Amino acid sequence: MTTPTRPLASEEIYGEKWNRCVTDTIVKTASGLALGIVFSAVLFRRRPWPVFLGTGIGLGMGYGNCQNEFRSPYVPGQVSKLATLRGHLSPKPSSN
Amino acid sequence: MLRAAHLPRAQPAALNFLLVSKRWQQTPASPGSGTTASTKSTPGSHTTQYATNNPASAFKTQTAASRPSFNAPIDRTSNSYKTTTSPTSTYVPPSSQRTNPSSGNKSGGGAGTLVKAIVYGVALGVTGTLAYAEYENDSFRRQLESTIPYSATILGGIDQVIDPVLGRQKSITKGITDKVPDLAYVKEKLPGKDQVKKLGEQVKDATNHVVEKFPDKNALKKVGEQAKDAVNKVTGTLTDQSKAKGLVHQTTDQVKDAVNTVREALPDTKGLKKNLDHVKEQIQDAAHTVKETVKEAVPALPKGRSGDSSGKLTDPVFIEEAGEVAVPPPIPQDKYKKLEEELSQLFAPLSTQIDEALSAAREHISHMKTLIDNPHISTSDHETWKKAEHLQEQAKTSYEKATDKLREWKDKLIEYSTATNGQIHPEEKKLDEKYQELHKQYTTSTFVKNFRTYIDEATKSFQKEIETMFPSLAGKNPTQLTHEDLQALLVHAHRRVVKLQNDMARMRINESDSIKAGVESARSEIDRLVEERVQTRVAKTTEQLTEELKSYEKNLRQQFDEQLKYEIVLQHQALTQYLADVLSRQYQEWAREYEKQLENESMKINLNLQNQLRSTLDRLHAIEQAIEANYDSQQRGRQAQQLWIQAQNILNQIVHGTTTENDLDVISKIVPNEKFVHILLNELKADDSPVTNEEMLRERFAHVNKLCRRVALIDDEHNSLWNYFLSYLQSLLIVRQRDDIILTDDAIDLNRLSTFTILNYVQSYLDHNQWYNALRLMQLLSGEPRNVAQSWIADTRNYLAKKQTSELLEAYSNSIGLGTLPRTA
Repeated sequence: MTTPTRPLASEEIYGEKWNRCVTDTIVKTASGLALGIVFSAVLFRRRPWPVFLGTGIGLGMGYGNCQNEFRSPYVPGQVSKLATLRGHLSPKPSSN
Repeated sequence: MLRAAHLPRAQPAALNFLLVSKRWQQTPASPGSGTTASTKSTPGSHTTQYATNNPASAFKTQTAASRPSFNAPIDRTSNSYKTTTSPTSTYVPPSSQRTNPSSGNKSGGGAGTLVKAIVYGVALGVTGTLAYAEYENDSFRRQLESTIPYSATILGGIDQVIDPVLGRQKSITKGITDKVPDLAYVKEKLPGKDQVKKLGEQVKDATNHVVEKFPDKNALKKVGEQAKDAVNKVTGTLTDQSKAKGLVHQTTDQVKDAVNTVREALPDTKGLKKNLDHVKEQIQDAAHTVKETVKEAVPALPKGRSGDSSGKLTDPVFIEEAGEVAVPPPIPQDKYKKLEEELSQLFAPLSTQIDEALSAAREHISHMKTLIDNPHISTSDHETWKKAEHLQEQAKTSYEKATDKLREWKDKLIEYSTATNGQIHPEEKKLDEKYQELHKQYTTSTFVKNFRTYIDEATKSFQKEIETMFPSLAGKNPTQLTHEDLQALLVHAHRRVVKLQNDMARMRINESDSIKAGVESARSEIDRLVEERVQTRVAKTTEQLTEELKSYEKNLRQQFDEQLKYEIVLQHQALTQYLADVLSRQYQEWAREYEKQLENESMKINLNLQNQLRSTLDRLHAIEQAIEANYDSQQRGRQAQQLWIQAQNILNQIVHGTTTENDLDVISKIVPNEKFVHILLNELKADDSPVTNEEMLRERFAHVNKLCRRVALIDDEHNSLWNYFLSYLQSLLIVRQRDDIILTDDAIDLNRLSTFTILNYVQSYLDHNQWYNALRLMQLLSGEPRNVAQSWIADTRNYLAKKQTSELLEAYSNSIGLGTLPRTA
């Protein structure tokens, strides 16, 4: 994820959050799906249930992440104007 | 117009011209229309020819002008041109013929006109100068008269015409020349009083001499009585009848003689006249000489010029130094001597001749007397008569010679007398006497010569008488006379004697009467003559005396004038001196006074000027200050303007665009001295917030609005995604109240605020551009919408702050600007 250099406006956080959320979710789901497929393919003799499991796990993880993200006031890895404005929060680089 | 002159058909008159034109034009093909086009196509040079040659036909062309105008536009071909050129070329010879003599005339006329012009010019000049001289009558006229010889006469003639017309008199003052004649000089040159007196005395002597010559009345009376006695004697001795006639004649002769003596006793008129002439001549000569000397002495008056320097006295008005004494010109001595010699030479022969004549005359007279006295003389005695005649002839010739010589002498004498200024030759008197006597004798001789004729006549008459009375006796001899004859003769003689006596008596009476009358008349005549002569003499003498007196008086007057003038000159000098003194003193006084006044005035003026200067300087200073203040205020005004502009700019930029550092720097440049501005600028500069403008905020708000609606249900607590979904759903379902009634009632119920309502309110606020309210209200958001709108709120806050500062700046600039506006009450 490319981090925008400039500080984000608060309204943009929401959008950003949603971006991250969705992408994360998709990634997780896809990766879950992939793992599921793999697992189904490998371990579970192409039974559909690891795919769905994996997808579900992925979705769930993404959803959970999303939710967590939404709950936090900041976008991780982003410097927000508010933080700077409030002054007591130093901008921390995000590694995500 | 004139080009149409050579139209053949169009011309009704000018037959020659028409004929010629027709003849010349018959050769080309197109007559009318071609030539009509010539009106437009002929070159201008032809017109001049026609103008000189055909002035008469010019007005005729007007009739034809209409026609060519119709035809002209039709043909404008070279053909027409050619046709016209041929007649035009042929017109040249007659025109040239006509112009040549005229040109010749012109050249001849040119010389004539030149001469005329010159003559006119000269005449004009002459008349102009004369008219001006006549009009001006002053220096120019005098100049003209002095320089040009005959101008004076011409001008005088014109004067005679003009003076009565204009009514101007030739004033005496104008006749006087500029230079006053040199009178003292003249006076000195005049013959002095002595000389004049001498002349006067001479005149007096002459008149006295004349008067002396004049016989007085007694002498005249005596002469008259003598005449009377002679007559009486004659009448007394009258007895003999034969003698009677002779005696009568004698008496008449004697009477005549007496009259002659009387006349001669009177002053010889000739001599008197001569003397008077002498005297007159003397006086005339004296006057003449005086005049000559005076003329020589007096300078030529018409050519006098004023301004000539004078000699002794510096006063130019009065007399100058005296000249030398004038003396009558000396008598030319040699001429006098010569004349005198001549006269003396002449005198001797003349006197001898006169003596001769006198003697001859006397001889004759004596002879005649003897004849007369001798009663027995008869006419037959021819010898004696011849002698008498001879003597008479001699006397006559000698007398004539004498008279001729005397005339000569007289002429010489006149010359001499003129040369010697009236001095009479000494021998003249003698000659005069002699001549008088001669004249007397000659008259008697001439009278006496007729004696013989008288006698002859008397005898003849007597004989005739005898014959008539006594014819019978006439032929007889004296011896043959009878007694009767003798008696008859006696009777006759008696009768005759009686008659003669009667006649004699009558004659005596008549004669006495006549003599008396004659004497009376002679006396009266003499008296009258005497009176006349006396009167004339008296008048003349009085005249002369008066003249002399006048001249004397004039002389005295002149002397007096001279004296007076001299005195006046002296006084004048004294006066001028005095005047000069007085004037100088006065001048000094006044000069001092005026200097004082001048000083005062100058000081006053100086003070005045200084005051003015000071006041002006003060004013100037005040003006300068005012100007500086004005300048300051203007400067501040300008600054304010610029500040305002810049502030506006900034505001605009803040509102609509982006501010740059340049703008803020510009402001600091504009007003480097304003602290407040600096603070504001610093504030503005320090603002790190991202640049926003109103539009962006609005857009963002729209976005924020949407987002806030979407997350309206989510609050600060832990919300799940499900809530997010639900809020989203909610946002889809809730419809915004789109009307502005919300804001009309100001009271916003703070208790019933919800996100949506807030957002609606804020939206409507923003629609109405009420940012502050919008901001305030936005801050009432809570929960997630709050988070979402946080940056927006901050940005808006910043923006509004900036805007506020810029507005403050603008207001400040306005205040400055307002401060610099001219104060109008």
